[in-house]
Amino acid sequence: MKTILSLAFAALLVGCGHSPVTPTPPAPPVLTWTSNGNPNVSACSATVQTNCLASYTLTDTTTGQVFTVAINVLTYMPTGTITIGSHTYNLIVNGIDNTGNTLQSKPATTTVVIP
Amino acid sequence: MTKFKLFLLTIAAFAFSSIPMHAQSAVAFTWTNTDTNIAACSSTVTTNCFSGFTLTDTTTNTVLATPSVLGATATSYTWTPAGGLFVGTHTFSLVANAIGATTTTQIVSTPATTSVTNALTSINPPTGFSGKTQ
Repeated sequence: MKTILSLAFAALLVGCGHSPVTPTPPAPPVLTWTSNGNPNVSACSATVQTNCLASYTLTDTTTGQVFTVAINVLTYMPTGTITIGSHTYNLIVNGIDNTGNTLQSKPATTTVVIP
Repeated sequence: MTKFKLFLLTIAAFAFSSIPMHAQSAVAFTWTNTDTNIAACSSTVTTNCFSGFTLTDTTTNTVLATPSVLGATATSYTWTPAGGLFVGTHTFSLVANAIGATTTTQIVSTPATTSVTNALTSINPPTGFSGKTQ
């Protein structure tokens, strides 16, 4: 029965002169921030490996997806597929202390509704 | 030809916070001047005299204080950067400044140096975080 209905629908579309339409997947949001919040702290580099900022960790807390973002950027578009609806994102700054241990900031949070 | 030379200074410094349990906000410098036989410059003594000290952050090549602030009798200085204290290690130099046989003869000692580490102990979160659909 399903097959017959599918064929009938396809024939109807062909008869109208149209091809089947594939819905466009929703686009991921563009996330931005104005600063890393630590103006006196250098970015880590080959020569600066302590007392420095290493990266950001961006988490879509709605889906659990985690992204590592370079410390020198202020905008990011999550990769991969995204679902329609509300998504909450956490952005954390990762750093390295004076003895080489990792440090993390508290998260900055924003919510985006994907239409 | 200078009539005298300035000698090495010794300097020490440490970062500190004026508010207990808060992040470091200032560096306190102290030093001793071994060259105590030179008269301090004044309105009446303008040659062959000791004018004071120049403190420089050699990591950033920034002069922090000159003899107008660090006069001949100064033995300490607290530097509180307006934009917050650096994080990491900076090296500072202190030189003694004197005026020689003429008022235009500047004499500078060899620098005394010290390093200060302000360790990173916590990180602030990013600011202005927002998102928009495309």
